[in-house]
Amino acid sequence: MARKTRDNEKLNINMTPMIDIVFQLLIFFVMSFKIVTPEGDFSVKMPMAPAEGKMSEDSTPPLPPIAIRLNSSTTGQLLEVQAGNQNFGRGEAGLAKLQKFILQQVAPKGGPPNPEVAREQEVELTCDYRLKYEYVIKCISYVTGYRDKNTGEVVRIAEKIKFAAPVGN
Amino acid sequence: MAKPRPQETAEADMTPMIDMTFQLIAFFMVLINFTEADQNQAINLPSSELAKTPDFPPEGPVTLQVEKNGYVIFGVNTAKAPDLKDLEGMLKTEFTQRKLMGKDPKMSTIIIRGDKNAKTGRIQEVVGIAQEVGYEKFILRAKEVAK
Repeated sequence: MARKTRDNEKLNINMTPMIDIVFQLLIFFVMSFKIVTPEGDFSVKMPMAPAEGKMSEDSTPPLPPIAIRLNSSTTGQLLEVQAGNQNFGRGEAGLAKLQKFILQQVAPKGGPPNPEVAREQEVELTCDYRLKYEYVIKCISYVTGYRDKNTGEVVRIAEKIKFAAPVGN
Repeated sequence: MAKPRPQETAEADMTPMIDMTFQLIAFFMVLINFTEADQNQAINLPSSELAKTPDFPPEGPVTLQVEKNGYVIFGVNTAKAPDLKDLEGMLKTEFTQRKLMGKDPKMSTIIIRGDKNAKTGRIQEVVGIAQEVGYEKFILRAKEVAK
């Protein structure tokens, strides 16, 4: 016969081991927690250049690349930004002027560039060896696109980035 | 003289504390990110407004971190490659290992985490070596800044 449950019987479960484990887990997670700033990427596809006279089968005639030259001072500061025969000056102001120049090339009629043209447009960067890397990333930011002030969306200008051999050492 | 009272056991209600503790554990479990273990905090990344967090994690990533002084840290190891020859050897080994495992190493992505004060030429040398080994896909990593 089934055992009768007794009334008013208080069942005491020992919570101590569970609390111990829970605290150990908590300490583990607190110790291994690391505050990391979010990181973003710039995708760059850089296959080795094909041997002369050898073209891949699916290759279509590319848009002429825009050649950009970044000159640095002896301390690695950005001294000059050049594209074509034009000199856009130094620092971020020079990069902003460069962006306007590339926009004119990609969208001569004004307005945002055609996304398909932007996808195919290639930019070739030639930098001084000692130029600080942060200027290259800034240049890539200015060259690849801008953020629309009204919508906040990123408008792409030129998506293909290529590096020429560095100048100097 | 007053008679001592029989011993009273004080029982604190543990439920709220356990609730809070579990919530804290859940919080840390969700936020913890073991995959970012290859981020060397000594490297001060350049910042960019347009650098975007990838929608999908890169395929077969190999992280190369270039310090300010030009040393290259290969992957999650703290082994530094002061000489580019060392780096070439490490990349070749990795390339061969991936091939032996039946993966296409050309589809692997090289993630470049360069210090903002590193020389551009040095970073280009590192990229060049990876290209010579056979890698084709590269990602330049930057710190995202507020939009």
